[in-house]
Amino acid sequence: MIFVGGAVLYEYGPLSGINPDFFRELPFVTNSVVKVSTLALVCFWVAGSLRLRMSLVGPVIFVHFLSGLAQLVYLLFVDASTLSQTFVLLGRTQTMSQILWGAIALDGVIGVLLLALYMAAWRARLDCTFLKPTEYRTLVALAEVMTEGKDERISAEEAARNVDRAMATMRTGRKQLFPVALIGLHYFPLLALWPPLPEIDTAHRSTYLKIRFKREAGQGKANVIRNMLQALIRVAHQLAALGYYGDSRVFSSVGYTPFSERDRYAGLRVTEPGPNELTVEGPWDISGDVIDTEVLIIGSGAGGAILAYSLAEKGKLAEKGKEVLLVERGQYVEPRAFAEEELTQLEVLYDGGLLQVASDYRFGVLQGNCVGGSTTVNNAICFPPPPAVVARWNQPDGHDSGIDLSELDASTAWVRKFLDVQPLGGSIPPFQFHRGAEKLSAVIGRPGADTGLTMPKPFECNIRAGASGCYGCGKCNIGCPYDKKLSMLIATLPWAQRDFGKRVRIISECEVLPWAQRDFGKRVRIISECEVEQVSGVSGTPQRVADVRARLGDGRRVTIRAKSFVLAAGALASSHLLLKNGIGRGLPVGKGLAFNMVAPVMAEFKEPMNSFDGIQMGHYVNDRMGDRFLIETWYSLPVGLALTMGGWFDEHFNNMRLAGNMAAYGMVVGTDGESSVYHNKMTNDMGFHAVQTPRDMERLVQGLDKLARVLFDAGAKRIIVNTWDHGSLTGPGQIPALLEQARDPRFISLASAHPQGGNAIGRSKKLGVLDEHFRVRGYGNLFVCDASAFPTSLQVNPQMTVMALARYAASRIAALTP
Amino acid sequence: MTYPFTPARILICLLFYAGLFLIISLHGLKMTPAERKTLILLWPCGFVVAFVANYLLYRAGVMSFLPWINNFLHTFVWIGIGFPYLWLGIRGRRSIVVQYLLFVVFSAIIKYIEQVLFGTWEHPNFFGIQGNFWYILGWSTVDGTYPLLIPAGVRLAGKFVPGIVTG
Repeated sequence: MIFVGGAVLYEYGPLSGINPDFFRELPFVTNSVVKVSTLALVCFWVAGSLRLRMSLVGPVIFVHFLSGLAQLVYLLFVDASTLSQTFVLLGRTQTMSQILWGAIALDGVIGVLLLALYMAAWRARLDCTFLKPTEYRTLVALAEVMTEGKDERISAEEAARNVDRAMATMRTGRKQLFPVALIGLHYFPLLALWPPLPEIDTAHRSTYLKIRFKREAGQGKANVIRNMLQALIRVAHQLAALGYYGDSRVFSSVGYTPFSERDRYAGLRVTEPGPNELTVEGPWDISGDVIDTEVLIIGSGAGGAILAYSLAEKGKLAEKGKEVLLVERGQYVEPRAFAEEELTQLEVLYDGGLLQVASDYRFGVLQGNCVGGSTTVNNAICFPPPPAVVARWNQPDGHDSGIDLSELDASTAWVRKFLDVQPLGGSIPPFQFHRGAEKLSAVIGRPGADTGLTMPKPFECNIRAGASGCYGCGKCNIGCPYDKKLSMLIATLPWAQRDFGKRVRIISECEVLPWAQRDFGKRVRIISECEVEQVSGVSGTPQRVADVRARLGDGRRVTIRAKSFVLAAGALASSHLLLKNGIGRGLPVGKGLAFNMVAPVMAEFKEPMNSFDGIQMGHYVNDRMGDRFLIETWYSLPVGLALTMGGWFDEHFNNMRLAGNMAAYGMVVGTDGESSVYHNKMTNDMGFHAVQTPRDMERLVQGLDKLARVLFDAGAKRIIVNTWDHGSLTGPGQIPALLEQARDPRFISLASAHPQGGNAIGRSKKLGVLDEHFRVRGYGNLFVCDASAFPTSLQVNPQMTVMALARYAASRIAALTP
Repeated sequence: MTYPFTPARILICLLFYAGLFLIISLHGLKMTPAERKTLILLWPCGFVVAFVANYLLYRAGVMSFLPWINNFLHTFVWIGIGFPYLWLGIRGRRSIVVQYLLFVVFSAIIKYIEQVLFGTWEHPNFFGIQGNFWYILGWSTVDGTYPLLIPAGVRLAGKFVPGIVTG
């Protein structure tokens, strides 16, 4: 009605006796009539069906701000004599500039008022906690395109609400990336004179996305726009997949049956875990703002927990047994509190570790972010330190790491015994593998076959075996809910506290971990939800660290003082803490970062594979020609599978529907150390560059070639590799084309859960950040003890090497801690 | 030119300084011995350097004249103590952009207060940009570079003085 009144006023003004001169002299009065009349018509149209047409309010708001901007430009650039012209308005003489300022204010007030009402209306309608209306609608628009079909089990709105709930629960600041991506995707079509994405009807939206995004992104020349498009698509696509496949109503459509509903469940006589014998202090347990300890360990994963246990152990490595405090950024969750829902577990146990992407947004790194670190959510695979790799580390013309091989062997043996490491399998009860390895064995083991691959072998793992062993529920990656995996969470940390009493203290939500509590009781203290913000270096010769400042989960800050400080926060976070605090200037901190990069490969067979039922990662296959690559058989729960499944939009949906007939494989290649960690000063957060060299990609392609041929020989109907153009192959003749695209890292989805390097151990002053005692060069009491100490990639799962090195390092750190 | 340096105005100025110190201390961190030593080192350095620089910049025609009492208050209290105190509280915990903005804002507030109380930040331009507003804002943006530059200075000092923070 306001706009109707405005139109009448503009038209009636020159004829009225109120301010005829003013309106007569306005040169744009007819335009104004048209403008406000059009706005009035749009408003009437919207009011006819507010639910359907509310998005049209957006343009009405937009033109008000545009009008204000246009008048501002006029004010700034028109000559002063024009602006000083006077008009009589409402009985007063006004200059042109005064009138323009008044109009800007009026447009601004109307625009802001409409915007506030518009946002409030969307919020009331959508009931979102994290996502704003624009972001939510973009996600719904994408989910509609992605999940449309006869097997659609939940609506796009429900999928988007699942995402909103998940994002609201996560605490990491990195989640702010998602709104940015969704807003970008919302407005991107405007560049090609299309309406915003949600305003395009579903059929055209699908076409638009495929043509504009997929082809432009995949085939254009290398430029910023293409990278941005790829990032937008990947991020939004993965969000939609997360929301859709994280919903239990979807499970049956992808062939997934929750463990408790499987036929064999009743026969297993499953026992639920009891209370975890671990004492972790949360922010609510911490009073005061200063904590003192002998050794502070930042991070409670494989390195931190084994180190805590070893330092607290009296008379073994440390003469008196050190008092150890572990601080962990993530939360402490007991296994008995683990939820069955994959999405919930991902939010709680991974948090920010789920959202680590390289600077080009193409390469993701997945890491656990909870008490126990990645050991809580990994596959418990234990490869001993490869002798050839360690020998390379020790080469005098290389890093010259100075690692005592016999002592490292002894440490490895200790870890093997301590965590009961043994090959998967056994017959009591029949161990539940999925059938991926069986398909490979049928071809590789065929008499006379020359595949270039070794027969599949079961992994060695720190998983309980025998009658009371692993049930094969397939939940390793969201935390074993049955205490079968001897992770730091249920083994090392509780044992350390049991054995060493008060010497092991753990603070969670403060970046700490829980292993050292079983055998050393209170000598190992753990604090959760405690994020280290500042490591305070102090000048002198050598320099030393006086204390660290940490932020607790409730926002309070504490100062932790210790004699020695150990970074065991993982390859990315430990390097970042050094870089952020300016420690190790002149040293190659953060350089030489490498990954075990993985390209997922799915194989569809005629018969049901039932791959969801079984341990997630069972067997591995080696390259007969050397260590070029390693193939592992794996499977994942629906969300994890959806995030790695090839195909975009409806292709992805159709692939997921056939997941019950699929087996999955990981093609693993240890990259050259060309990647690096950096401190992003703008966001005050960690960043990393992931670089895949031509040599890395060549090894990947060689492995893909061999695997694809074996799988077709084993009867696969189709093989899916997650390339940008969706490498879905139906016969060996298509393999060369796939390999051609897979050779370029820009066009294949790669990820890793095993970052290594960045703070290499080495006596070489040029290459080594740490000396042979794991001490940061130039510092007297600062150590690093995690995968960042590796001079190069191991090429195999690093868990056991991290633990063995932690055991190895303990005596050195103890000796250097007064 | 006469300036209204009455005891009451000086007291009010000091109260404003104290108020800003109070705001800065909201970061809730107790200073460690290394930080205290660093502050004690930066205090005379900041005071002397800024005191002399203010006069030289006035002679160069790019700054207004700060009478000795104002220059002393500004450099001894604010540059000498306030800046290191602010920096030690936020270093490493805030992005460099936020650090820069905090220094610019605090610096602009101080200059504006001194201008209101003493009229000493009156200058027609900031390197050719006309207006006293731009003059105050311009020098505040220069002060914003403190957290960008001081870590290097502290690291250099750390080579000779043990026990101070290393940036």
